[in-house]
Order: sequence, then C-alpha cells, then structure tokens
Amino acid sequence: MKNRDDEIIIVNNLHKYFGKNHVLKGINTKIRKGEVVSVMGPSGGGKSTFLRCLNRLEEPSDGEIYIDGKEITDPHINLKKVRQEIGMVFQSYNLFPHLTALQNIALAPVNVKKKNRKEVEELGMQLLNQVGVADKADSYPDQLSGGQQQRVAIARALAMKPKIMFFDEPTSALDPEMIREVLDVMVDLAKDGMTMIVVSHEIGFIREASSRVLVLVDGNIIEEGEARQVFKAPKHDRTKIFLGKIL
Amino acid sequence: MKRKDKYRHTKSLLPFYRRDYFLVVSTCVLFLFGLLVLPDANSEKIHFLQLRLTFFSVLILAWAANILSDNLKPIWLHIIVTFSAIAVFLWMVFAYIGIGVSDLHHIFFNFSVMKGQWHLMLEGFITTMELALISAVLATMIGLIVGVMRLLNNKTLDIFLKIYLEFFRIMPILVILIIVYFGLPFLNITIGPFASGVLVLSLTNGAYISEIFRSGIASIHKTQYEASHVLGMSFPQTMRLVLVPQAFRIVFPPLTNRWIGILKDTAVCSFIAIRELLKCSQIITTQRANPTPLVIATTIYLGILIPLTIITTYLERRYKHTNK
Amino acid sequence: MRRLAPPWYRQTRFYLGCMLFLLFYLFILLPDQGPIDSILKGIDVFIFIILLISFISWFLSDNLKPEWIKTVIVLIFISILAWMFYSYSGADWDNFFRLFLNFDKMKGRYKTFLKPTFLILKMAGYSCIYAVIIGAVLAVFRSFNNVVVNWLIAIYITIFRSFPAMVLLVLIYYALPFIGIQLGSVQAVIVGLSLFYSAYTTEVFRAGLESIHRTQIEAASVLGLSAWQTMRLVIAPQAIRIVIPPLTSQLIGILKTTSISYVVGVIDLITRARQLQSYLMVVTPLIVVSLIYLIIIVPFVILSGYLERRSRQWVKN
Repeated sequence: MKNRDDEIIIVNNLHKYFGKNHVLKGINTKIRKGEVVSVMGPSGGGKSTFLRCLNRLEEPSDGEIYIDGKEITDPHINLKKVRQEIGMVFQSYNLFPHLTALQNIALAPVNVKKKNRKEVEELGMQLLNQVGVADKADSYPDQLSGGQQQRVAIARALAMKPKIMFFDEPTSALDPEMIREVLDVMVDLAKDGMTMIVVSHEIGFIREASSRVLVLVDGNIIEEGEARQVFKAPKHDRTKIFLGKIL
Repeated sequence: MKRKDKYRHTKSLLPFYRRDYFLVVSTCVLFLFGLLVLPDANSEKIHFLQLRLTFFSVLILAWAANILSDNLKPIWLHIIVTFSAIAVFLWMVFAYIGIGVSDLHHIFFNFSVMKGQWHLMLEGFITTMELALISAVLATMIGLIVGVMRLLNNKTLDIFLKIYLEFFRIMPILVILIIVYFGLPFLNITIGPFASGVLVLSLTNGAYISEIFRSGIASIHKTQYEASHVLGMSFPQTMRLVLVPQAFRIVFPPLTNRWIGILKDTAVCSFIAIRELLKCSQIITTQRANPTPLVIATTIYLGILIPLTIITTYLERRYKHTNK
Repeated sequence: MRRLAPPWYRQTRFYLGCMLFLLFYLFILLPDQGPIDSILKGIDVFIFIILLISFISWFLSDNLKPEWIKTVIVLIFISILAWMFYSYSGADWDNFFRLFLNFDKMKGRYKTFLKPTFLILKMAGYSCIYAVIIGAVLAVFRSFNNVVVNWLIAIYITIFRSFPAMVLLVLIYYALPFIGIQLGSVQAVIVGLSLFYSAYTTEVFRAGLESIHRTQIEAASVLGLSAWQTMRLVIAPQAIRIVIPPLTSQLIGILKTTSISYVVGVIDLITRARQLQSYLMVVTPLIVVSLIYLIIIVPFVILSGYLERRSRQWVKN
C-alpha cells in the first residue's frame, strides 16, 4: 500500500500501551525519502517509543507501519531483512565490547550480507575516515571516548548501507565537548541526502539540519512543520509552553 | 485477535522451520525415528542402547527447542509439546528399565518395611537436628570472632587467620572428619563421634562464616563511619544505629545460606558412625533389603531443605535490591 | 600543641593492668595440665580464652599504638594459645612425629596414591563437563521465556540445590539397583555430582546471560543479525568471559566433593589411606592424602582468584 512513490515511511494510527499506560495515542505520519525529521517533546511524551516502534524494537499495540512499501507490523515478515535497510544509533552507543572498532563495523556486513571480508574492511576504513576516527580502527570501545564511540556506532550503522537512519537521543549521554563532533557527522549525512529520523534535544542541530519537526507531547503529534516555522510561530499552545521551557 | 486474521496471507514469508507444515513433518519424522532407532524394549540383546537413547533424546530436545522458541505459536501448543516431551522421556525410562509404575510403589514406598523401625528414624532425625544446630551456633560464634579479628588490620594476625581460613576452605570435609575421628585417637585424644562431628563442622563452617562477616562488615565500614562521625555520633551510637543494622542486612542472606549448608553437611557425618538420619536409614535399608527408608530420609531432608532454600533465594533477591 | 590525653580505657596504664591480670590468671587461676575432664575446668579455660581474645581485639583496634608492639602482642597471643592447646588436649604429643609424620614408614608406598589421584581427577572432569552441558542446555531453554519450561527448570534447580550431595549419591548407588539400574560406583559418583552441580551451573549461565545488557541484543538485531547469529557472535563471546570465573569455583567444589566417593566404595585416595593406616599403624597416610588434596586444589583456587580479579576489571570497563 503506497500513497506516493517517494514516501518511504508511512505510519497509520500507531498506538502503544505499556500495561495500562497509553503511551502513543494514534500517531499518523508520512516521511519522504531524503527528509530529515526531528522529533521533539518532553520526556515521557513517547518520542523514543515512537522511534523504537518504527523498527519493532517495541511491538506496536495497534496500527500499521510501512517501511519502503513493506508492512513491518505483519508478524510473519522477515524482520531481519527489513532491519538491514534501517540503521539505528542509540543513546548509549551499544558497541560490542569484545571487538575492535573496525571489527564492530565489519560484523554485520560479513555475517548478515555475507560480503567479502576484505571489501568490508576497506569500506569500514572509509566510513571511519568519514566520521573522523580512522586512527582508532584497532582500538577497543573501552579505549575510546564517548564521542569517538558514538561516531563508530554511526559508522557501524552506515556499513549496512541503509536507506534510513534512526537516531535515538544520540548526544544525550555525551560530555558537552564531544557533542559537536557527533552532530557534525550527522549534519554531513543529512547533506548527503540520507533519510533521517532524529529524536533529540539539540536545538541547534534541529534548526540547522532538519527539514521537518514533529512535536510529540503525551503520545500525540501536536505540531508538525518546517523547523523555522515551528520555532518562530508554533500553532499549538502546548508547543509554545514546551518551547518556552527549552529555548 | 483481529491481528491474526489480517496476517494469514503473509505466513508464507516465514523461514521453513517456523512454518506449520514443518511442525507436522518434524513430529512425524521424530515418530518414525523413534520406531526405527529405539529397539524393542523386551528383546534380549540390544546394541548400543545408551547411544541410541542419547541420540533420540537429543532429537527430542531439538524438536522441542524449535517449537518452544517460536513466539508466534499458541501457548497451548507449547504446553502440549513440553508435556509430551516429558512423557516420552518418562516412558523411555520406564520401558528400558523393565519395571512398571506399580512396582515403584512397593519398592520405594513400601511402608510395611518400616514397621517397628520408626523410632530409629526419629532418633536419626533428632541427632541430625542437634548436630546441625549446635554446629551452626558454634560456627557462627567462631566466624564472628575470627571475622572481626581479621578486620583489626594487623598483618601478623591476619596471616595466621588466613592460614586457618584457607586450610578449612580447601580441605574436603570428609578428609578432615576422618583425620579427626580416626587419626586423633593415635594421640590418645579420644573425642566421641558426635563431638568430632560438631568440632569439624564448626571449624570448617566457621571459616566460611568468618569470611561472610568480614566482607559484609568491611563493605560498609569507612564511609558510613565517617559520615556518622561527622554528624557527631559517638562510637556506640554509630554501631547501634548505623553499622549493625546495615551489616545485619548484608550478612543475613549468605549467613542463612551457610546454615543450610551446615544441615546438608551433616549427611557427610554419617560416615563416622554418628547415628544421624542418613545413617539410620541406611541401617534399616540394609537390614530389610528395601530402599524405602532411604526414600523416606530423602523426603525428610528435601522437606526441610526445599522450603529453606526457597526462603533464602527470596531473601537474596530482596536484599540485593535494597542494598543498591 | 598539647596532645589530648586519650580516655582511660585507651591509656597505657590500662593496658598494662589488663596484661598483669591476664598473667595472673594464666599462672595461677588456670587448671593444671592434662585433659579437661570436668565442666568446671572447661569453663575456667573458656573464660580465659574469651578474656584473652577481648583484650587482644581491644588493643589491636587502638589506632594510636605502633605496629611493632601489636605484632609482638599477637605473637605472644598465638604462643599462649598454642601452649594451651598443647597442655590441655591431653594428647600424647611426644609420639606426634612418630605417629603423624612418620615418613620413613611411607617410603616406597607413594605409588599407590597415583591411580586414585587420576581417578579423582577423571571423576571431577567428567562431572564438570556433564554439569556444564546440562546447565547450558537448561539455560538455553530458559531463554525461550516459556512459562511452563521456566517453571519446570525452577523446580529442577530448587530440588537439586536442596539435596545434600551425600544423600543423592547414596540414593543413586544403593536405591537404584532395586529397580534394575546398577551403576558402577564411579559412574554413580559422576552421575550424582553432575546432577548436583548442574543446578548451580544453570544459575551461573543464567546470571551470565542476564548480565549482558539488553542493549547489546538490541544493537545486534538492529544491524540485522538473526537470533542465532546474535547468540554466536555477540552474546556467547561476552557470556563465556563472564561465566568462567564462577565455573572455576564450581570446579573447585566438584574436586572437593569427589572425596565423598569413598562412601560408595570407589577406590579413591581416602580408601588407600585407610588401608595403609590400618596396615602400618600410623596416621601419616591420611596426612599425605590431605597434602595431595592441597596440591590438587590450590592451583585451581589461585586460578579462580586470578580470573575473578581479571573479570572484575573487565566488567568495570
């Protein structure tokens, strides 16, 4: 079921319950290829839950989600295959501690896509270069700073050549000095045309790089539109309150 | 429920080992294998019986694992698979040993065998309890003293105590028991069997308990003491209001665990002629040539130890959460 | 700056007074040498020991006294205890060396201990391997999060943790033959120990699996790794590192518990020791056996300690 050809993510009436807690109350949205969508909102509003439902790290309670034309809420779907098209970067980097940076990046392409190890390692070095940690290719995660680890995590996600990249509060666990280096990588990715959904509190990045902003409060998208417009002239009162607190 | 009907058409997307037909096929294959591999229970000569049984058991486990790991299959299917696997295992046990379920009753649960012997069992039970209680009390006392002394931070004393500790932690209990009971009489030190048992159990477990007390108390020592000192509390107040309550909470689970360990260790003492529960049941078993007394003793042991184990596991979990 | 005077119970005068009192007790109030045959004597000695220990602890807890005095006091304390043991145990200490440490009589007999040692190592090895296999299989079944399976496994673990090892062994060796399962004594030991320790190994594996953060699994699945691949490439390497230290201490427990095989008739170290002991009329064989046990077990204890320290460092990272 496709509405338009370039709509790569379609969310219909997404609901999520955690026990009795109604966290997502009917989310509807469509995301086009190449868009950089930022999701903002107060804690507990459902931002991370929304993102995690999109690749079924959390099981949606109701509704449908289509990624690149495939309905991923179907329990029989080959989730493995779908997930290869979505890269995800977590708040706590989640690098594999028993592997070096390069090995972390090479793990999935070699074992899932069954690619040649040498090719993958070359690609890995290119990516490490792109994110700026090429000199740390043989270091273990515990030898890297938070910012370096997060950039390796981004490279690891990119190694699978995904069509979409999800970022779940990528800079929230970082010391202030390291936030800039990670955001720079994300901005470059956006410029290269990657479809990105970013859950974040970094207003600078949101203003600079997003093509669209979703404001998620209490499980509902109360505001949606271009970054400039949402910040300058929010339509909803609740948005005004939220922005007032963070700007 | 709506969800299931909606997605019926996509069932073909699943990998082969998850599909419904595979379930049926694998069950039939398993059944056929059973008929082929497992020999007739009554035939005389069976080649490689153990190998065949192991092989078939592995097949059953693999088949069960495949189904049970699939979250999309309904729960009733899981229950059926689990219980049928267990049923097949039980059947294998009974078929290849050559006895029936009814035989079990008068081999293992033959109470007539125990006629007139119940008082012996009772004596054994009481002795076991006495042994366990006295050893536990002594071991705790020794453990407390040694543990506190090790906290005094004197290197020389520490070395001596550590030697005691390590010796009793490394030596198997039976070895120490035998040296004490059979070896010491050579030096004219004659300690009766009960006393030897108490002595060895107390010393051995005293070593473990001292380590429990030491690490428990040490884990709260510095910062708490400093904090209360800074607040102006005197030493006795600090002990009473801050250190002892916390130490007690930390120490209680492993301590109760050790006490249960002492009860289990009393069974080892059966070897040096103490008339405790295991020994008494062994006496009756050999006399009447029927293992029922052993089964009864086992039931008594389990009947006491299982509730205690459950309580300690529960305590462990509770205190783990409180202490972070 | 004037130093503040310590309270009376911490002053040197007090200590000297206590020591004088203890000396008085030692030389005058303690009963004569010889075994303690009456309760009165026992209480007498007992009170002295309590006073002695209290004094030593009190003195040693004084942070203001120098270390060397404390060491001297400790040595005196130990010698007093040793002397008391010597005089009150009623033992025939003159014959100690002849009876307990008579290595002359043992000459040429050491070879008999070789086979039982290997037997013990073999039994422990097999039991350990089976226990680990059972533990791993049960841990895998547990990870299916199936309520029925989890309950069954919980029951299994509770039962075998509550079983005294000795009772289990006796049951297997003496009771099973009545239904036709006749296990050799060595086999009975291996089966018994495997079952007994499988309860512990399952717990070890479960803790190991749980300690791997859920986020690792999420990261792996997000990369497209299947459940099996995640297990093989991400979870297992980390889990093995976490699981090996506790497994080593289980192995130590198994080595110690194999000594129980004496009771079911296995020709192990204790059997040989008792044979020699009754033949030679000395206790030395038993001492030799305990030394052998020390030699076998101590390397594993050191290994276990080393592994535990290393894993703690690793976990910190």
